[in-house]
Amino acid sequence: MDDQQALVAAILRSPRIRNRIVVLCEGDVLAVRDGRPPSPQMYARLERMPDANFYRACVPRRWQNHRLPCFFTCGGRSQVLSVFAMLRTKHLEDPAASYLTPDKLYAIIDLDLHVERMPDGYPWSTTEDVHAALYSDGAIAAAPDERHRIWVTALIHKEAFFVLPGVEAAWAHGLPPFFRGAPLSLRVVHSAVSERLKEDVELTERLEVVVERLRRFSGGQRLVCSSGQALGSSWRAVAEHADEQEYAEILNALLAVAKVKPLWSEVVPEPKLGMPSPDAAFFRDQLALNVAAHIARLEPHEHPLASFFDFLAPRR
Amino acid sequence: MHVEKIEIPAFRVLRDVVLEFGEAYDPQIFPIGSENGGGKSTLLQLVFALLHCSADERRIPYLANLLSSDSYTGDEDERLIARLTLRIEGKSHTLEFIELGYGFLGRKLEGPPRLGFKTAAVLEHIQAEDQDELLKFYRESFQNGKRKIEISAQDREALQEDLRRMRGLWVALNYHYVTAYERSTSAGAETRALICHVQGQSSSATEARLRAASSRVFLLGPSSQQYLFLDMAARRMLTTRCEPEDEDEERPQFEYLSNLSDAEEDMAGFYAYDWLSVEPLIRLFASARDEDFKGVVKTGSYGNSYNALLQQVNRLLVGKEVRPIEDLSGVEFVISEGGHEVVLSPEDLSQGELKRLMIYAWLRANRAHDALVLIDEIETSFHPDWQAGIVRDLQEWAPNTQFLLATHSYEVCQALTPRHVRELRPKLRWSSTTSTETGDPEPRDG
Repeated sequence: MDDQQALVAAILRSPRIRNRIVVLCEGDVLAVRDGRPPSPQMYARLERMPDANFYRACVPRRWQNHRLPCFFTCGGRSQVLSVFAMLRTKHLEDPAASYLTPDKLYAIIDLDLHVERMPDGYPWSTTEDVHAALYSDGAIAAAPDERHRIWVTALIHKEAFFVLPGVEAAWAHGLPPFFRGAPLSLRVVHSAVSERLKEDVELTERLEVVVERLRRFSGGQRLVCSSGQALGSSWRAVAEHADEQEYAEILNALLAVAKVKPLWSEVVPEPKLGMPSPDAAFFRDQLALNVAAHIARLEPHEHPLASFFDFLAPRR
Repeated sequence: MHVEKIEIPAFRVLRDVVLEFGEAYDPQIFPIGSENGGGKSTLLQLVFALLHCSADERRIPYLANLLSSDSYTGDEDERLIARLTLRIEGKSHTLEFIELGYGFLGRKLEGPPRLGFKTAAVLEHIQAEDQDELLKFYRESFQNGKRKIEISAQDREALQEDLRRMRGLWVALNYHYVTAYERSTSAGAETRALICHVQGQSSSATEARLRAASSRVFLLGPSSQQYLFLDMAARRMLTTRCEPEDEDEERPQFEYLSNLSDAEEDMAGFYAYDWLSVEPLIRLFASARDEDFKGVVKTGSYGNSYNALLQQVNRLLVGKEVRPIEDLSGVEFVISEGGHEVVLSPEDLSQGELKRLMIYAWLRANRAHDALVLIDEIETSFHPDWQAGIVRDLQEWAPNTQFLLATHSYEVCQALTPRHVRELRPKLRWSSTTSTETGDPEPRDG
């Protein structure tokens, strides 16, 4: 049995998923345990926080008296899609040996630049089709189609959510994050994200996808998409004179195609506290959880992830 | 007040414990995991008793009980029990709690004192100025030891002199004398003394520090837990059965709960929660009612504290509401059925739901703000969903408070980063200085 089959078997046999929403997401697969219940000691030994914990922490606070979804990390995007398909197949092969409720099975994956094919028979063919069907201008469509089981993020990666306007509230009471030697200013990060476009080889290779995607963003119409460099320069030029509304629109467009992950790794705790460099990764995990806690308090129309959970709510 | 670092070289099952809780962690919520019997509960109880009881005469016996329960049998004259680094108003203070043996006095005082720690402790309690009491005590002590001696005026004077020398020694060394207690050593039962020392601080400044700390440290744990700060007789009640022929006798466990109630009364920061303990909730409603009444006196109109509290409390419940009884002698829980309110029976209530409610009420009633709250077995009675949610609850209910949570729950940990989780690793238990024959089980961890 390979790792993926073992993961599928472990999920189906997990009594915790009985009559409960299951959400598959990206992230390292936690080692399948040899029958021992997971313990705080096992968690303490993980080098990094599992990605699923971010989504788990985004579950709205108003869900606290309801059944919460179970999250499982399955590896990269293609693995998530493959596990999604295998879970349904294996369940149907032997429903008596499975705790899964197929109608409550969902997945959420990053949009990314590389277009991923959806499993056979799925109503939408690619991640790009799903994105187009779910969102308009980075916000969820008024009434998403009930058949959406595999969601893609409204922006390129979940890290894009860490730099959206308003997110500062997430670290208002904790240690302030620093970026390139100064207290983190979101606009400075946005500008750096746009600067980095000129070095993004993948973006250049997938320019067609970028152009097509930006058509779905009102802010995208104001940007020059002939190359990464042109896209970045035009973004900064528009941003310089944009009012708040225009800025929000072009920011959504930028964060739908420009990678935040590499710049997010430059976010560090305030240097004067003298935390050694390995602690910066822990600090970012901590920030991510605080961002998630912030999202958990937002209304569905205020954040795409809050919309995602709002979509799931009737299926609890 | 938060704790930055806990160091415990050896106490009961704990060995070489060094746990750090830096300012950089956000939130300041730290699960502490270990195997069963790994010492989580002991750790919480020791930290609590040292900080909550050391500067309060009424609470000292609880601390002495806990220290007496130590299974360490070494006979050193000077031993670090715990070093606690606290962060109070942005500054770090390191408190060392040190156990001293009689030999320490021999080394530090010129001429061996006739007075041991036990005698000194009792003398302190009976106000050594009262000569008649002193004489009575001295006679009784020696009669118990099957020795009858005449007590001369010279003897009495010598004892007083020793007591003065001992007090002078504490001042000279900047030691705050806390208590004397008995524990087993390789040479048999011996009386030991506990002192607290803060580098560069006088003994009175250390005492002031301890007084300040005592009102900002709290311990919550299940009522079925073994609490080492109860005396041995009370602790044994938890695992004793009634004599079968004695049908009228109350179960010893009830007596244990009664001891816990006394402990709650003496130690304001201690709360043994169980699902029937609605006292914090009543206290909270009474306080909100009084607040509203104050509003009438001041402004002529009632405030909204009571109603706001009721709403907040009801938001924590699932499909039911709480109704305080008119004279605040208790609370009822009701559900709406066809437009009518139906009072629920106790068996209709979820223990986890009530536990969550009581923790909320207790934190609010005690105004646990900028405090250190130690919670044992946080996950007990909670469904895994609520185990995950309790971390966020605590964050919202007491945002500036630091929580140390003894737990076996992976779900509790997942609400935090892996770096937040502390682990007590098992140590060799059969070292030459450790006895397991105290007859006192390690507090159960879950």
